[in-house]
Amino acid sequence: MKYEKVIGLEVHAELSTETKIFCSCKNEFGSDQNTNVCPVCLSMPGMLPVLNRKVVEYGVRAGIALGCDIPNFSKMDRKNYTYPDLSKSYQISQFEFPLCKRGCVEIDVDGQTRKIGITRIHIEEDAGKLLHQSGYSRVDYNRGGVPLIEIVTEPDLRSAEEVKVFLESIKANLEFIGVSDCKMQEGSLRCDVNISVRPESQKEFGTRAELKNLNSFSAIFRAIDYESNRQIDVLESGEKVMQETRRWDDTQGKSYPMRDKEEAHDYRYFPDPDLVPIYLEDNEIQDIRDSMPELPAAKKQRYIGEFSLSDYDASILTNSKFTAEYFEQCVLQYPNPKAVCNYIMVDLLKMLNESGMEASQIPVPAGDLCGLLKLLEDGVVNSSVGKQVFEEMFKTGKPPEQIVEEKGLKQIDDTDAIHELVLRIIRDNPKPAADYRSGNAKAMTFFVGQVMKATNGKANPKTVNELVKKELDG
Amino acid sequence: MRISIEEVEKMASLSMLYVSDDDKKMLQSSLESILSHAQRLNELDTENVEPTTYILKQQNVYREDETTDKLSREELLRNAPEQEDGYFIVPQVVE
Amino acid sequence: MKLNELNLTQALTLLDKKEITSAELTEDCLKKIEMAEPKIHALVTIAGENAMEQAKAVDKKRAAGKKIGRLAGIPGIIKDGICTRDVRSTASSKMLYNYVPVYDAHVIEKLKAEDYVLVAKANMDEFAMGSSTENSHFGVTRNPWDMERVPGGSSGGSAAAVAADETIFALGSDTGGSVRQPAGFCGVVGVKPTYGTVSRYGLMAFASSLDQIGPLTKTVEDSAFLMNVISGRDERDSTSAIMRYPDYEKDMRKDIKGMKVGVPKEYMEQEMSNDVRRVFEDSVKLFKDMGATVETTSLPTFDYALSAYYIISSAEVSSNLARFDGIRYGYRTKEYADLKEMYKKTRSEGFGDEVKRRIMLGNYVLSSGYYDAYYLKALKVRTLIKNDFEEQFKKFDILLSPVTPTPAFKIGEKSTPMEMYVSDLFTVPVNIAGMSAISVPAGLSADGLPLGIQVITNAFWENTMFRAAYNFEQSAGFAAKPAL
Repeated sequence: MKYEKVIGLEVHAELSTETKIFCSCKNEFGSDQNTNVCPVCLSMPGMLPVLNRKVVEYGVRAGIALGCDIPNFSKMDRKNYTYPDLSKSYQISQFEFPLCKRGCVEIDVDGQTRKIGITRIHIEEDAGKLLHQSGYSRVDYNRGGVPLIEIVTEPDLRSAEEVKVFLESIKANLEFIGVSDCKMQEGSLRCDVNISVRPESQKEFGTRAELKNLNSFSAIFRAIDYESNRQIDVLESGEKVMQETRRWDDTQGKSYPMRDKEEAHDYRYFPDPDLVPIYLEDNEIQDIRDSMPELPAAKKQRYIGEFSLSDYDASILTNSKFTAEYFEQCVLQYPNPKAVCNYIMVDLLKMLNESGMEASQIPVPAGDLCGLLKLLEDGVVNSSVGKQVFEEMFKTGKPPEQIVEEKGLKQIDDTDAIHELVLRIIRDNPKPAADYRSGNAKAMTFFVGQVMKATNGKANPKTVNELVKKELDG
Repeated sequence: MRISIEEVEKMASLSMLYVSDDDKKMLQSSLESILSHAQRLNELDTENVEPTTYILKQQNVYREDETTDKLSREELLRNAPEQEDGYFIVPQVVE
Repeated sequence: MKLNELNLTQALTLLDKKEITSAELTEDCLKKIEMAEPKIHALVTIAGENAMEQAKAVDKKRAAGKKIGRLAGIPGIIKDGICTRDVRSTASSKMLYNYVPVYDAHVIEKLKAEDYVLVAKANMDEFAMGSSTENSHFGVTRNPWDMERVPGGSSGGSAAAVAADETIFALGSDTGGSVRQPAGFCGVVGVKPTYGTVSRYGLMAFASSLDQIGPLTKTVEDSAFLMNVISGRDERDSTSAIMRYPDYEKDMRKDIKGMKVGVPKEYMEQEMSNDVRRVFEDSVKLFKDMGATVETTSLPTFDYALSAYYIISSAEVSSNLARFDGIRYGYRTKEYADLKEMYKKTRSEGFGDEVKRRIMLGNYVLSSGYYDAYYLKALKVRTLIKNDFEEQFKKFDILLSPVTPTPAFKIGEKSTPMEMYVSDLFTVPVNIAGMSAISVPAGLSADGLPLGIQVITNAFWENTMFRAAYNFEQSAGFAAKPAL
């Protein structure tokens, strides 16, 4: 029997505001424990929340970017449960009237476009951090009160690959509109997976399990794989899948049931009486729509249309706000989009990857890349030397002209000098010459290679090829 | 208006409270009497009535996204029953 | 006359004329406290030395001709559920027995800005839940008029302190009557301002949609004056009303000829002691004598306010008190094997019975399956009650009622929760409807216990309320004092 996976996601993204959602503590990752806290986020008696205006704005932006409706009215509710990292023992969230509803994100997987529904997006506060020691735990409330958006999808995803592409799209969108830096490794992007399986022919959804503690894309992959197989095994053995929350253990490669059986969580949601409703006028919402930057999907289409880039290339470039901005800056100064695109795709991204850096950390100023491209265009350096120069630029931050000068990498165009060299090398290597003349055309590459070697790669390759051929044929 | 002992136990659990067996019985009876009194509310027709979720009419009360003066960590931790190294300390959580 | 027996207006005048100093005034208060506390136990923390220091500092400023505040050198007592920086604030709970806040409540900041002198923190029903100040971890407060009787609650300590002249004024908080009822039982003036006019920042929360801080004073004038100090927009409280705040003393001394007064019949149909009925009827007559028109009217939803109140306030408090877990402040139990045990023991040991009962009730009415039937229903009934009152204020300027069905009852008399809750019957509808009200001493029972009347007015109509109350007070001439 063939089974299909049915997947829905709950994605949490930390908003990159200056301050927390309900108090004016700094919203900053990595500070010393309990240094970004105050009586409000420590929930001392008599303290009250006041909503950060920017959080509402960022939430609306996120909703618009993900194709949502923005209702005029929304409000904050209390979600009551007890855990040490939740200082009020309730989380201020949105239950009944979320900020955004009914959105849609299109993803391309294996050449197919799929529409993934967004059920809702709401704003809420984050909890602090619990650090387990032996026999006790330490609590740091710096993260408590950090603003989050929670994006809930319809169960429209069908594979781990789709989940990956979807999450990359969310990340790109949120980055583009500047509301979150979406760094999974820093916890500013988190994802819980709701997954069920059903026989391919079945219309009804199976019972789903919720997977938590997925801290990387690869963990998500492994977890989806494991859990779907686990559920299939359960069903095949005639049992029923339990609706439960399971914790993913990435080192073990397994999921374990999580919830305390004693208290099924009854969150006792009710409207928070310390806060007042959010009412957005139509014109306010429109103003935010009008001020949205070009989103990844639109940008991708424009790159394809305006710059004649391939679908693939346009996808990669628009995957990140930083690569897209970089690309556009370069194209402004050096209006050859294909050339710019190639260098970014092949050389820049490769080097970023190798050094474990992110697109937000591109160390080569756009102007410098353009400088290099111009040098290449003008034949000042050849393409393989160009790559060497670029590597230097990446590592040292120096401009291309300076590197070429310092390392004497200018292309050798002196035809006479090259001719001399060609003659000498042919003379010194009679056997390969004979080889060529007896019909092995490929032997020519040996000579070209030797000439390039003798010139430290700087000879004009076109000239070398022409002259070698001429002398060998001649 | 009846409340079962199980419901009293469930309420105690949600409230993070211990209740002795004697107290459970007393609570059961006082809660029943309070809730019986509350049944009276059903005498009123609230079919088309909006709930009063908010007392004042104001909406959109916000603060600006700016930091302000803050208290020191020492001051903020000074009432902590147990602390270590700038952390609040709690007994172990069974994951 | 001892200086502590002065009311606020008198004290300000004498201080201004330099006929007395704040040090003298404060000292007399402290002496009275020393004498009265063993009898009435109205206070939790007495800031004796500190108070004298503050008083002397103000005297110095005044003598040097420096700018001083509107309450310069006036001793005040603050209910212990209102946070005072660096002074222990316990809400009369074991849970906060050692809690010293690092911040002042907004109202305290305002009082400090006017150079008041903090004399003491007043006893209360634990976390403001109760109507007698019998639910305090620190012991029962006794009514200065009869020490076998309660002072009312939850602001019983504040009311008793004012009645006993331990202070010139006090602050309390009112969620279902907790300022007005003890004011009535203790023969002093108490105000529940319109929700939103006094910031709740720094008031340990009981029921967020009902709580308001209010003054307890010896005269109506004093309360109006204090309202001018403590009211006002606070950006740290999202439920702090955004509006132009009035001068609460404006037109207070003008007459009330032609004022339209309504007496809801549902109030008068309730069981009440003969003394209450008599004093109330005499009070109504006074209003008529002053030229007001008095008419019987109806509040059909009156009977439902108490149930709606218990559901709404318990729901909110169950959530508001969840933060007391022994982690960041307050009491923590001594022995525990794990986290859950720590939570449960801490809370079970730290909270008193009434608090625990209401937390459990609150969690019940919010739990899934019951939310619609109880909590949502109560919120809808609240709308009906609000509408009822608003209808009345289309016809009337104020409504009049007794404050309580009986004078102060005996300590230990109310043996079941319901019996206690019913004593809030007359005051609760005002909070539920979001209106404003003041309790003014009106007369004495046959046993010599004070009885008050309640002047209820529409939201934000405090000027009308103070004018009615002031005129009544002048006319009634209540001058009795407890023989303490």
